[in-house]
This record gives sequence, C-alpha cells and structure tokens, in this order.
Amino acid sequence: MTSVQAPVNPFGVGVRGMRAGAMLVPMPEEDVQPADTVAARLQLLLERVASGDQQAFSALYDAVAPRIFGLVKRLLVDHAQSEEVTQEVFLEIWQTAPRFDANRGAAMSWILTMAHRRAVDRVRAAQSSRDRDTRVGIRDYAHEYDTVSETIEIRIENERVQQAMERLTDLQRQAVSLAYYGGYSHSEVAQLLSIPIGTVKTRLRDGMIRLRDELGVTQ
Amino acid sequence: MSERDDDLTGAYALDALTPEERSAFERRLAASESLRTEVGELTDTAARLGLAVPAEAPPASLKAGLMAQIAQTPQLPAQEAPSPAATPAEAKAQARWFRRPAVALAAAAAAVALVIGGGVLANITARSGVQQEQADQLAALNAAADVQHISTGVEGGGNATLVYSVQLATSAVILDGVAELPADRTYELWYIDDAGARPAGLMDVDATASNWRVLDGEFSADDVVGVTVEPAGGSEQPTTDPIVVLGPEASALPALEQAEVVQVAESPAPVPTPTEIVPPPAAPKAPEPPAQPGSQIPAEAGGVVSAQAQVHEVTEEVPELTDPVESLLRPITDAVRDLLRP
Repeated sequence: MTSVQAPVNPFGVGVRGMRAGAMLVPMPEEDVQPADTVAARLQLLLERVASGDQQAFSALYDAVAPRIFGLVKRLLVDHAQSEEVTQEVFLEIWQTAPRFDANRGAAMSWILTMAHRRAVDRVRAAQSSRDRDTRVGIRDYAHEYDTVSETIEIRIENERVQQAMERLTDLQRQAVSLAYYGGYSHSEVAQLLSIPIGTVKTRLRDGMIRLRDELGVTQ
Repeated sequence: MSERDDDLTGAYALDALTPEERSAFERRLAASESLRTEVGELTDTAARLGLAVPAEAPPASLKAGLMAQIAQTPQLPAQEAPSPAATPAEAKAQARWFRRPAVALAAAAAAVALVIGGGVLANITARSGVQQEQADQLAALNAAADVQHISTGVEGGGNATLVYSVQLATSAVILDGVAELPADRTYELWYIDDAGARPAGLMDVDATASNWRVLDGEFSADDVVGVTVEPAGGSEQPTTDPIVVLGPEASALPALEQAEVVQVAESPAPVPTPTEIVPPPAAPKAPEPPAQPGSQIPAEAGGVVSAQAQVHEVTEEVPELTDPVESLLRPITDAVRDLLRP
C-alpha cells in the first residue's frame, strides 16, 4: 500500500553520501541543476565555510538564502522579523559549520532544520496565540502546502509533497501542516483540532512516517 | 524505551514540542540509536516540506550585513568544547549531526551567544574612517591562516574574546555584556610581556552590544592582552588591576586556567581554500634569505640605501601575504564599506 517512488529530491535531502534518487525531469542549466550536483556543491561549500572561507559563505548564502527566507516568512509572515531570523540562521551556519557532519545527512536538510527551529521559536516567542489565530485561520492549513511555486524545481517538489500529503488521513494532514507550516506546538494543534494531545502525537508520527515512505526518504 | 517515548519522533521532527519536552526528548535521543535513526529520517522528511515552500529572495542589505558580521564572528571548533548553553536550533542539529551527540546535547557555543545574544555589533554601526580601518583590519585578522580565538569570563560580568594572528602580528578584543563605564573612565587595552605593559588603545563599551577593537601595536606570541579601567583619555601604564587577561601564554598563568585556546584555522580542508595558498608563516623576525634582491642592495651599495630598496625591504616584511589576503577579503571589505557608508 505504500508505494515508494523514485524521488526528485532536490538538494539530496534524505540521501547520504550525496547519491540522490533517479531524476524524473531533465533540468535546464543554471536555474535548476541535477540534485547530485546541487547537493554536492552545497556540501563542498559548507566544508569550505567550516574552514573559515568567507567567499564560500557568500556563495552558500546566494544558493540557499531565498529558500531560507521563503520558509521563515511562511511561518512568521512579518517581513522584518523574517529578515532577522534569516540573519540568525546564517550566523548560526557560519558558527557551527565546523561541526556539520555530512555522514549524518545532507547540507540542505541541516540548514532547513535550523531555519525551521529558529522560525518556530520566534513565532512562539513573538506572538500571542490570539495574534496567531488571526494571522492565519486554521482552514488555510488543510491545503497550505498547495501553493503556486515560481521555479520548476520547487514546483516539482511541491507536487511531490502534495501527492504524498494526499496519502495521509485528513487528521494526519491537518496536524502535520499546522505543526510544520504554522509552527504550532502539539498541544496547540490538539486545541485547534479539538482532539486529545496523545492523539496528536500519534497523528504527527504516523503522518511523518507515511510521508517519509511516500517521499522515499532514507537514511 | 516505551511506546510513549517513540510517539514523539514526529512532533520533534516538526518542532512541535515545547522547550521542556524538547530537552527531555533529546536526552532520550542521546541514549537510543534507533530513535535517532527515526528522528533523522523524519527530520529529512520535514525538510522536504520546507523545500516545497516557494522561495523568496531576501533584501540585498541582509547579505551585506551578514558578510560584515561573519568577518568578526568566531567559528566554533570542530570538536566539542565545554561551554554553557547551546542555542535550541544548534541543540537539535547536534542531536543528529554532531560527532558526539550524547555530550553535544548539553554543549554549546559561547561564540553564538557572543554575537546573537549581543544583537547589534556596536562598532559596526559607527561611521568613521577609523572604524572603517578597524573593520578592514578585523576582516583581515579573521581571514588569517593562523587566526585563533580565546574566550573567558570577565571579572564583574560579561565575556572577553581575544582574536589573534601571529602571522599578521595583529589581535582584536571583543567584549560582550561588559559593564559600561562612567564618562570619566575608559577601558584600556594592553600588550603585556616580560618587559611590562604597552598601551594598545582605548575602548568604549555599549553594554547592550558586542564591542570590539583591533589593538594598536604589534602582537607577538609572547604577549598576553590585558584590559584595565583607566581615567578618561587613558594611561601610560596600568593604574588598576586587569579585569581580564587573555593570550596564548595566559594558560601558563595559574589564575587564568579557565581561558581556553581554540584553534580555528587548523582543519585541513579537502579542497584548498584561498587562505591555504598563503605560504606558512615565517617567524616574524626571521632573517631574510640572502638571495632576496631587495635586501642585497643596501649592502652592495655600501650603506647608501635607495628609495626603491627601502620599499622592497618594507614589503618583504610580510612576503607574498598582502595580495592574496587582500584579494580574498575584497568582497568582505566591500561589504563592510557598503555597510558603513552613511
């Protein structure tokens, strides 16, 4: 019942040693590079950043800043705060790059993980729950992942994520969307969906495992 | 590991736990390889959700500011160093990526707090020619092949970091969270060796920010750097005890055992970086090779030193170093310059 398809998997996220999955779509030059190349380049840049190379940091910034800023702004909405958090994320990349270990995961995943955590911390610290309820109605979240994207790479990834999301139950999908794209804690998710917190924990785990399998993410 | 513990892998990967739950779960993570594997996979899955979000370019000013900031921000050593508290985001990354996850969870980054906690870096916001020169020097210092950092607590609160390069004979002090002084007092920096203390510049401190200054004079491996409180305008010799002493030799002093030497630039990267093109530093006072044409001219000219020869001698004090470093730093110094432009 779980069909593991060959992932497009930009940036090689979820793939060790930079071996990305089969490419489904031929990528135009410049705009979109093969995942192998992008993941390898990011890892190389991060290794150079780890040795204090400021030019490499500049190149790494150019490569990933729009994604970081896009994700952070999705959670925070506020432009100025999104800038601040993006800045924090990149300072943290600079400072902790010497401790990045490619054997444990892809560079892009490492970076996005830091960015999401910082955005979530900021959204919870900065805004009361009332503000946040106003900011985005819960109804928006059911299809929050279904958004028009501007690059082919993101569009493909978006489609794959959307397809995978559709394999989830409604409750799993809502819970995962509220947590990831809304930055809500599991107890907030429980309140918003009027279900017990234990159920939310289970839904989040089951939903993420299902997504993992659908997207072909492996260690 | 109970079923209940396992339930949290999804919530953890989605950052849906409270800070307390997070910490508790990370302790469990440290003890369970299988739990770490699942969290790793689900964290990657969460990253895929992030990759599906439309990208948006941040304003160019963000990058300019960042390039200036990293030029003066120490990096963490590759190996774990004992320090007070990790940032939450780093802690999560450590749970998976850092080489010693069990220890890493509680581990930290004084340097992260140094800058991020400090927010605005006070000296960067100042707009003057002196600050411009200082910023250039600090950028050069941070890019030196042999740059090192030493951090320690300051008597009376706050932290001090010494950034130094023997190769460039330059050092800088960063004071973070150190008390502001009344108008009739100033912080004064000193190079201290066996011969005594040499004044190395004054420093005003904004308690709400990280403050830094490149020291006047030349740093050598025998020096330690001290900071004292002096009357406004500074003193010729220290009139108070130092609030902090830092230096490569400081670890030899019994009172300063807490200072930790952190080698930053030692890691041999698999790919040569521009800094590695720079030849290894000669001893600063090493005699020049006899074959150097510039140094031969004065002797052959019987003491009559041509202007050209003098230029040669001066430039050869730092042989082949200036140009590569400058070209490496140009983007940084340009970024700093942009930032400083009124």
